[in-house]
Amino acid sequence: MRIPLANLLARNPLPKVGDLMVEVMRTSDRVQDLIELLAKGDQAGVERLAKEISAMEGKADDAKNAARSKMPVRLMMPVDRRDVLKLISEMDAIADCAEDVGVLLTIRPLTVPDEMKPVLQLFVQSALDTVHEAAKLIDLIDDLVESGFSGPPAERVLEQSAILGRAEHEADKIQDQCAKVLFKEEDNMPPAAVFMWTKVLNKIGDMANHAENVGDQFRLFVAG
Amino acid sequence: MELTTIVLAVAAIAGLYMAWNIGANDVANAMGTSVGSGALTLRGAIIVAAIFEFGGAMLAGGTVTKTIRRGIVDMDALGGDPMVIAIGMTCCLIAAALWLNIATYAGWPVSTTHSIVGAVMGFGLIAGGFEAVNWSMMVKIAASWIISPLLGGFLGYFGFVFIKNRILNVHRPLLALRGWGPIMVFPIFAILALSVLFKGLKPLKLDLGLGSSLGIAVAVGLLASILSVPLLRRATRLASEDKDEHSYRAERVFLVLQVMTACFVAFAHGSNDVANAVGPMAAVFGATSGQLGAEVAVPYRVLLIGALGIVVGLATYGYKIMATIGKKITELTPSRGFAAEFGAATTIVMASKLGLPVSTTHTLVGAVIGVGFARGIGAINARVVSGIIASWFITVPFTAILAAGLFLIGRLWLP
Repeated sequence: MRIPLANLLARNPLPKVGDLMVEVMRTSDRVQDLIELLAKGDQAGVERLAKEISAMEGKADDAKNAARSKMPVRLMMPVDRRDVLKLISEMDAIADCAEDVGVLLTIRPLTVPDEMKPVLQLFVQSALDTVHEAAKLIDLIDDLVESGFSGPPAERVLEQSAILGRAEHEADKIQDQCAKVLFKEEDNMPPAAVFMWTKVLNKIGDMANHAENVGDQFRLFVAG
Repeated sequence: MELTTIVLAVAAIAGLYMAWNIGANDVANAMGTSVGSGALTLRGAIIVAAIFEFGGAMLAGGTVTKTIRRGIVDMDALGGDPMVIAIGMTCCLIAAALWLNIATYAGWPVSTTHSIVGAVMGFGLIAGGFEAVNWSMMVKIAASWIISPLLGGFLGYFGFVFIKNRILNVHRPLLALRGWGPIMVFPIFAILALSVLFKGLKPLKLDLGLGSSLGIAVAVGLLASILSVPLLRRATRLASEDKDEHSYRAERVFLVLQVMTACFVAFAHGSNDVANAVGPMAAVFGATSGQLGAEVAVPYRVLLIGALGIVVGLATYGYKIMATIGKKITELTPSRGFAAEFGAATTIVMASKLGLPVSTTHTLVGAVIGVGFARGIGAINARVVSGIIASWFITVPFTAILAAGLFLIGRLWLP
């Protein structure tokens, strides 16, 4: 039928980004359980959970592909298509890092030194807090679209981006503490374990870093 | 049977079909935004369309009708035989209607206006040669096809930027609407009144000049905005200070404003597009009644056929398209629909006053894209734009050739 107006308006692909965030959060939240099992020394549990996280990351990948497929080249959106695609890959990277933490912990079974336990748990918590702050940002997308990317929703986005940035900074500081504790213990553990620990800490820290990048993308949305 | 009678009958049927097409497709496209946002129900849209299309055609449609009828082809260059014009214009109606049928079937976003202009041009080329076509008029018309979507987009863009910055995104949108609402009502009524008054009331022997019609139009606009003050005050009564409540209610107020722009769009459409069916028919009726060169008013029976065809088209098929559009464009909120419709209708009415046959649908598409550029719309399918641009280059040559071919055949019956 000859209905140019109906064909002109496409379905807004941005809500699909929200679906992806749900999967990403579900995946990354399991890292906390993973570290708890590790602290308890339950290696079998760690293996099982790592597999589970990997399966969840696969679901997040599906959500990512669903979001991307809704963004053909000929779609004109209020935000730059490339920025949205960048946002999607940053979100996906959070889930990827969560999966990597699990994989690393199965490659070489690690034990958590007692001195490190509290600060490690604090670190994971702060990294996941950063991810949650990023998710709050994603929740603002609908309001942002509704307001035409300006006004109070835009201000709220900038505020939330700042909160997110501070959360990431906090996670960074705790990561440094964690590393300090680790290297205090370096004489009591095999060098390979120290090597693996630095990798694990970096991956957990990367979850927070990618979450912060989500905030940067939102700043671009509001600015553009 | 006499040739004149046959030609008249064929012209009437082809004109009716053309009008049916306009009613079924064009009007549905024009009213679709209002149905989609929920400003009008399907039944409401049909009633508004029937009334204001008719009003637009009768009060402001004369200039475009004249352009289609006499502006594109120099009738004096066709020789003295009125039957040439009668048969030729009938062929134009058939050619345009056929093309519309094909395009509708294939889903191409072509314009009824472009079809009929192309057809009349093709007939003119065959009947009177290259010189018979008024090329300066054709250039003006072709330019208006590019300018009207751009102007619609321009107005849609600034309309929505204004709404966004002054109403939707301020601390208390409802209070802002109280102040700005009457100011937004003013141009709708003033422009509407101006288009009716300025050279519009010839049938009533009320030919007002620019100065006096401008004065009355301003007065009408002011009256409307004063009357809207208490209405808006009631609609914006504050229930709570909740921000979401405010935004929601503000959009509800835009629903009311959008009903006004919907009437405006229907009026604009009537003023411009009804001529596509009525213009050629009027030429046929004029020629057969022996008033070839004379300045004759469009006979009322012709207008009646046109209006009837449109209403029937709306009622039989248009509601179907409107229902489809209504379901598909729910993401166009009332504030966006208001900005787009206002931009499109203003552009179309202005073009009508200049006697330029523009495409309502294309202008409206331009206006919606303008709102999109103001970051007002979630996602726009840019492919439709290339379809529209392609249709500019296909429609005119196709209907021109088709009308020319039909005329070559129809000419065989000339005495």
